Amino acid sequence: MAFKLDEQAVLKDFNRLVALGAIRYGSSEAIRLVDKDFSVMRQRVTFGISLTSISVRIPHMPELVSEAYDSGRGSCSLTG
Amino acid sequence: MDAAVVASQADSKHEKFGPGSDIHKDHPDQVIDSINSTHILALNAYPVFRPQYLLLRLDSYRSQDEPMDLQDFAASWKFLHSTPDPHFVMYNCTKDAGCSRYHKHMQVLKRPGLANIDNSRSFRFFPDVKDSQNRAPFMYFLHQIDHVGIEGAETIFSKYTELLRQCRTVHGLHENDNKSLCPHNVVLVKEWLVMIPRRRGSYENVSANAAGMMGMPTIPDKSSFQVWIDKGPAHILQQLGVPDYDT
Repeated sequence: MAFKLDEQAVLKDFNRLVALGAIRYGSSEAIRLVDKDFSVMRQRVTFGISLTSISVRIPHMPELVSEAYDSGRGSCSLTG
Repeated sequence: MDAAVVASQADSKHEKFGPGSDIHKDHPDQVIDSINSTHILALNAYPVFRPQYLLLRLDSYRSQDEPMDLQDFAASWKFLHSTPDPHFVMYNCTKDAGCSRYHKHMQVLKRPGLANIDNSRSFRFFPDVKDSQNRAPFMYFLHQIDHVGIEGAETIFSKYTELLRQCRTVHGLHENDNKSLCPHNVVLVKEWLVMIPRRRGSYENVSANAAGMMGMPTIPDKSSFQVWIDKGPAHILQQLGVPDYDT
């Protein structure tokens, strides 16, 4: 039997459960390491931690080096 | 009071997903549905992404130390076809592959990058990047899934079992040794399956599950983020996975 997910309803429930404290959204966040050109972009995906974003290029994924910049600008984006 | 007793009492305040489960059910509305009468679809109570799903075995004695089975693939495949938005399913087989709970479960998240496929700065999983120079710093097995419809879970499972035999040999096991642990990650989307043999779950106090090995590690605090910067992601991922000496 086909199973269909109502994502809008799920998101509504998710937000309600976060408000109730049953879901601890924001206790950790993701960084994103690789890209087409192996740039590294740290993207804030939660609101729990206030850190400065970085944007890094690592050809063939060697060491992570590059500049830090203000998380309120440019490449810092929210996911989800 | 004895610490173990305190811990036990604290645990008893939280309902779990069945006997033997080590995953708390903090609110009844966390449960969304059941799939195939073998899995519970629920919201992850500690999500990094919004939302983040758990596909839990209804049999709560099933363990994360087991490889995926046909029922796991059937439920995963059904979920991937349940919504127009692309998602991915991940499985962390054993603690050395980054699992933190032992009640057998997959996790399902939104698949990154496809909505902005033309944006060169948008993050994508490496199998979605058509670039011959694209190499991960660890060994992995990639299977492209062609023309497999919603009924195709059995075909994919068959390929997974073949890759699992290869994974065992990477770990120095006999390919048919189904008694020993075989740490690995699985990432499944409609178009491909990736299996990543794992050596360890954490290194220098940072860890990665399947999503982490695909380039989306999670960080709980500034200090762990600093480790990723200081050690370098390629070095860390290589230590967590198995070095691919051909690259």
